[in-house]
Amino acid sequence: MSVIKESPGDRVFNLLNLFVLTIVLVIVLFPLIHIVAASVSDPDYVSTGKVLLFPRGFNIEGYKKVFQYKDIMIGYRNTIFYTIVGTLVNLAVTLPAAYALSKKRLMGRNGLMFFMAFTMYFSGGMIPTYILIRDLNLLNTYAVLVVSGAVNTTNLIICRTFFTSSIPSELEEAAMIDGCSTTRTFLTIVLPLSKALLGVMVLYYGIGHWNSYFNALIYLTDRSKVPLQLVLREILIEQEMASQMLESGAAVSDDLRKMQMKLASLIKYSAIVVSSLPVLIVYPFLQKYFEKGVMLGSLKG
Amino acid sequence: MRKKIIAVLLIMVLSVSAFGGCGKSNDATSEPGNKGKGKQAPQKEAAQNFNKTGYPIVKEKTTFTAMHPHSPSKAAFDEMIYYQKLEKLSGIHMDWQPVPASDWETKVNLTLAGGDLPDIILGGLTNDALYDYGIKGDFIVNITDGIQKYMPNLQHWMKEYPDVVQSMTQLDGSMYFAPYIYDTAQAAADTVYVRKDMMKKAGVEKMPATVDEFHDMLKKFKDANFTPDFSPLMPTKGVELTTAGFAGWAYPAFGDLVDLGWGLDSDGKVEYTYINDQYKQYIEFVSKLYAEGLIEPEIFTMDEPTNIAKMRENKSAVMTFATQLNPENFESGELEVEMMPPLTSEYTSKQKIRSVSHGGSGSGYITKSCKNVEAALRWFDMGYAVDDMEPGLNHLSSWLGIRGYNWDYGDDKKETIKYWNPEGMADKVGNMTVDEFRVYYIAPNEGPRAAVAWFVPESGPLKMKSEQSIKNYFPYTVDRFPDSALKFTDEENETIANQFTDIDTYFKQQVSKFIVGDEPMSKWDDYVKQIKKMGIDEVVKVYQASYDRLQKDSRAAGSSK
Amino acid sequence: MNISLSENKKHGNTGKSRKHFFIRLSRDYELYLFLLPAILYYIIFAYGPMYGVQIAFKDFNGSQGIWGSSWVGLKHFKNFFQSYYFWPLIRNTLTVSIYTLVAGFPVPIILALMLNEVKNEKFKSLVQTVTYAPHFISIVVLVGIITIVMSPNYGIVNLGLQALGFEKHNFMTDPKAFRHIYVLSGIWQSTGWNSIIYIAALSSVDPAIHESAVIDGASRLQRIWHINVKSIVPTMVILLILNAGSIMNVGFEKVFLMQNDLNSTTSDVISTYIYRRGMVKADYSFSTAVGLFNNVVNFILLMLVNTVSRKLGETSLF
Repeated sequence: MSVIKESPGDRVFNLLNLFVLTIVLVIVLFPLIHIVAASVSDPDYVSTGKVLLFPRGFNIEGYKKVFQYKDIMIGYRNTIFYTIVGTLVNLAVTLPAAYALSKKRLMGRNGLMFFMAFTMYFSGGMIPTYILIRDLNLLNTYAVLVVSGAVNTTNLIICRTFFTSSIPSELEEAAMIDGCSTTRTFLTIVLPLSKALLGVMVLYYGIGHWNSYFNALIYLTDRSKVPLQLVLREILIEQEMASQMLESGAAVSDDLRKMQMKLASLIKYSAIVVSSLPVLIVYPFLQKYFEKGVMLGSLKG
Repeated sequence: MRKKIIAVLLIMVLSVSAFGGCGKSNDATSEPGNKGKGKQAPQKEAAQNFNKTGYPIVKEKTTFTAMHPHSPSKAAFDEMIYYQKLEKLSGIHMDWQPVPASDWETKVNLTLAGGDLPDIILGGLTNDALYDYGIKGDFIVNITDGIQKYMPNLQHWMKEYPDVVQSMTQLDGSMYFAPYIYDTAQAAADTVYVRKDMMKKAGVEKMPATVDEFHDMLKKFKDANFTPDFSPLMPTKGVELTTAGFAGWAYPAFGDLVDLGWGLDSDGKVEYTYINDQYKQYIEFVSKLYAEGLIEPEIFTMDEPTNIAKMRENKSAVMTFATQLNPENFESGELEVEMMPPLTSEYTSKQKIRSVSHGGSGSGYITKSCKNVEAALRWFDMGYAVDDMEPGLNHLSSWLGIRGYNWDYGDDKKETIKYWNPEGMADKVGNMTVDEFRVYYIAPNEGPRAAVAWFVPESGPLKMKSEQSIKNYFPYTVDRFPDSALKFTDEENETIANQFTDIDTYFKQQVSKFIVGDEPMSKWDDYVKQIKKMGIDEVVKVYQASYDRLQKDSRAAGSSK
Repeated sequence: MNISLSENKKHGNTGKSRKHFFIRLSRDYELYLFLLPAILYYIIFAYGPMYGVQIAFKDFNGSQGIWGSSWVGLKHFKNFFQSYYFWPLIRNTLTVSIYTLVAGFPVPIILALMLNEVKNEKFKSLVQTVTYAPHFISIVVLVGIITIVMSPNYGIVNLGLQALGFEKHNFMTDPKAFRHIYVLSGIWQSTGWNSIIYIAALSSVDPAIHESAVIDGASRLQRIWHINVKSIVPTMVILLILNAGSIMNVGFEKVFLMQNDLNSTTSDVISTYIYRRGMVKADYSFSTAVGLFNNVVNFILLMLVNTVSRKLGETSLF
């Protein structure tokens, strides 16, 4: 534990710190509790603002409907697959590349960085990308969602920054002097020291996969391959659709549409809980990678 | 040296991209610019696997790929009873490609742009997409002749509904889709209902006939103060005060015209009605109501579920979708609502309201990758079957189901209808209502169909609506301006996109300000001036041209009969 | 501090070009192999489709394809610039963006610094998990919650105002309130998520440095400033540069859901404008042109901020 003794100033600071953080906790927590409470309440009460922190008109219809809808289970299974495989691919491609870019001795380093960053700003758009995917025979495959997002440039840049500023060069030099190849240095020394970065990347890429729906919408046609978010979105967006319908006089469907809206209201909150719960449960396990002093002892060792 | 390397790298990469794009895009642009009128797709060998009349439609089992919008309230189409019956009868199997309905347009446009065509598209295409791919290009098959030769059922309905024919006919005089047709007692739009139980309690004895009586009724509701935050008048959203819904019902009471947005003035010329005097008088009235606290104050921000929930809490007396109320919301346990007949005023003594169109929007298209267009056409035609194809299966089936299986007439005169869940389905039904289950499993209410039947359901919220519409809505309708049937050329569409988008935004901003009082009605003339400055006259010209074309075409079509 | 083992020259190889080029290539071949999958990815998936940018200068017509459609030069750009609402759109977009940047950028950093000082692991973990949970709430639900919270008749905000003696006010229809509601709710939703990268960076600070600082008599705040903050400066700068480079990107969905006819004077942004135009005429060309315009502005800003940062001696992107 810490050897630093606490001064009275320290104690005041700590108390203040805890106080502010508790307020933050509460401000964020209340709406979250509201969502959980709303997910087991009568939707009419929720809409009229009668549900605050406690459920009213308790019913679990929302959850029942969510699990009855068999596409949701399929979506869950697919999303887990895409997240795990996708994140592994992301790490395998991004980390070595970021490491290479972080080495000042690399020739063309800035040019390559420019080459990659340029693509964040200029892209061909949906149609040529769609045609490309089609010509590569990737349409409607399990691979397309994994491959088409193999590298996220922002994440790449974050990794590069981390490697440049947080890995002491003395360690690497010591390894090289000992005869380690670059690859060996990377795998056995740099990566183990980058646990915090790995944690962040698993989170950023992983959640990116978990929440994505747009690429699935465009590139997939088989219902058996759709991810969870696409399924949920279908249900949630239905109620927002086409107020234009009203104006074009096609009101025949409007009464029915409003009746269908009930399904969406019912599911709205339980859908969020169902889709974010796994992630929230996993997060604390990742947090231990962010612990202080992860590097302690490495210099001496 | 380093800079040279970077430059070389970039050039290499960009040229790879240019060549790469070159080769691949050839697939998408099959034939370079052979556009003109859409060509008839040549069908030599396929014609052999086809029966011109009777069922099955094909001699050997055939499969078509069909893209359609998918809604979570419906089961997969493979499981749907209606489509299963069609398949058994016709011998055609559909390989369904569902697309989330929420993003249908994005996906279908992308699919077309990418050149990856399913055989059949069972959903709507926008007019300009149809123009692009059907008229200018040849991705969508021209079926004008096909309809004449192979779709006798559809032709039956086309004779009865010339406005549908108008909607189907494109700029080149051809037809490219099988339309959705409807003519029912449930189709009333611009509906306004009042709660009779609240009328009684507030001391309003008879249904208001004039604008002033309507105003008084609302005031009495407010004074009665049934519950805190009670809103005498509460449509479902703000747009119902300005362009449809309540506006559609009340606007005709302030002058001679019925159409909102685009309509014909007293000389029969196309005008933009949101700047005319009748509309001004209407908005003045609405702003007065709002200022007196007679309209739901949060109408512009309230979302629909909240609105419906409030309706069900008995916190409003006049509403536009009373079909969302349940009998339990009333003390008497019965649905005591009445649809209000149109009003009159000092400006007009004629009760009128704009009519409902009979559909005519696209619900089935055939693409050029379909190898058996005749078979596809006859499959579409099944949706319009005038006579039973097999017991209970006809043009009403996509909408109601199979007669005798899950619905039937309630009386000999066919004025009422009853629904039930078929036997042996209890586990599939779960706790869905009869209406929900019907849409989920039996009758998709999609695709080419003619929902033409004039009856009142035996129960359910639409029973009330149908009865009320027959009494207080349909007797007063005046033919509406055929705005949904108008077709525009590319240049005309550009003018609209360039000028009208902004005009429409400005209109919506200003009118809502007038209503809530952020802007006084004395500024109305400035508003009209601004709209003129933004170029509305050019847009009116475009609409006039399109309307004149429409009139000419239908006169020509009429004379050929 | 990265002393290259082989070269002592400051800027690596200048002169002696050819031989040096191949020497460095062969010496660092492993690093290039590391880069290979990523480079391939960019060439195929990012640069491959880039020819599509030309749609912005053509009248794209689906059946003619990208190559078959006709050139129209700057027509779409002109149409956009000449729109009655062009300047309001730019103003609204930039206001929301810059406001988000200025208000939202420091908050995750401060949160991370504060959390780093907490000794109780359980509390720290709890706060972290709770603050990052809002990131998962879908926009639809978020706006729904906002609407109810701000409601004049039902919402706590107005109930609170009335209790304090003020009049109730409809914030959701007030053009002046839109940007505040949009930005502040955005901060609520994303602070926890954005603080993760800073927490991770802080975790690699060696506690021994703190210990020696205490011995040297440094106060708590001094230690935090000189050690902790200093260690995350590279991350901060890079993220700031990246954020500057997305200044024109105000997402569509949230604005669309919060927009209504009464607040549209401040809530109409570029992305919602494109959507509305697309309803009249689905126009890939127009939206690509506007997108290109956005990206050019973004890119210029990126280069600007990057150069300034490099000149100031800080880390930079390139």
